[in-house]
Amino acid sequence: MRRPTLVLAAIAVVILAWLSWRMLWPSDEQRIHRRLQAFAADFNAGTTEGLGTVTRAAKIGSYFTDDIVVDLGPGTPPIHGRDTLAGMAARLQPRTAAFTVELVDITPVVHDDGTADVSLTTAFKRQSLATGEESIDARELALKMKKVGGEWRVMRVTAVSAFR
Amino acid sequence: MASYTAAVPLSLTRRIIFGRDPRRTAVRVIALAGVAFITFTWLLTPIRTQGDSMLPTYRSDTFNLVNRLSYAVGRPSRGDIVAIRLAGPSVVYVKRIVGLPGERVTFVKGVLHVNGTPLDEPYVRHRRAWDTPELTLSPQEYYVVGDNRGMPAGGHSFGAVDRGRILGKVLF
Repeated sequence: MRRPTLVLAAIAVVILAWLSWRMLWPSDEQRIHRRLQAFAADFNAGTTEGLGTVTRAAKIGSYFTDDIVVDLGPGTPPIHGRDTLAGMAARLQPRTAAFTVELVDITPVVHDDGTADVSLTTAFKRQSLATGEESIDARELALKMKKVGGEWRVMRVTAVSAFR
Repeated sequence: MASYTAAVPLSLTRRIIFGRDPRRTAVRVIALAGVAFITFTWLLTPIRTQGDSMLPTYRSDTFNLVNRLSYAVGRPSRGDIVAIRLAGPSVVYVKRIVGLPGERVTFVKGVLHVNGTPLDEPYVRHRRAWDTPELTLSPQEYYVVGDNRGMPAGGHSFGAVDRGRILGKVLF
């Protein structure tokens, strides 16, 4: 093989090895990122069947700690507890089939005590079934996450306002 | 004869796709992709506006670009339309700067007052009687609001934002 080809092949091998390493042994930051994306996927996977709704509520609940608190700011009373939150999330989807959530700009900071602070933007997309028009309601959230049984779970959600 | 006629379009196609010198074409494509990636990630962020808060200046579903370098040297000024980031640059608010650091800003019956004086805003077409308490901006804050004042104040995101949240100036 010629020298430039060898150099290119070596670079490709290094990149592949690095990607494999990241995939097989992800850091806590990557685990948090994947966990939150998995939550969004489960949240968006709507079902209208009775048993499916229960399963979905349990699945959504597995992303939170038992004592989760959701504080969306002034004017909205805080939501306490995993069961309350999972039930609300599960009931929301079947009524509004054209409602999806996207989590973007996820930035986790992991601490030594097994917790992490995460900032992210949630984009709630609604598509009108009548007109097809799409609207987005975006919110910045600050999450406190905790590693429980090897899995990262959300223990606190606080809305952050860009405006004072 | 058949193989000869079949070979002509194949070589033409290859030449159109890969060029006369495939290696040089590959280098050009990689360079172009690199320049596009750098430009649209760090210099000019493409955005698609959604919502009516900037009417009539911007309609919903229009495409625009945010110049990330616009305030690298200078400071934001009154009247600039800027992108304000949330947790990151993927979702931004597009608003107009109406108040500068240190100023006092308030809405009285739908009219914007800066330091007690009504501000002339030719870009505003319709107004509702918005009333807000007076806000004194800190040295790092700018007051931003959309051009559409015909909507209820409760459905409009506006107020003082930190300088660090201003991503850049909207180009067009």
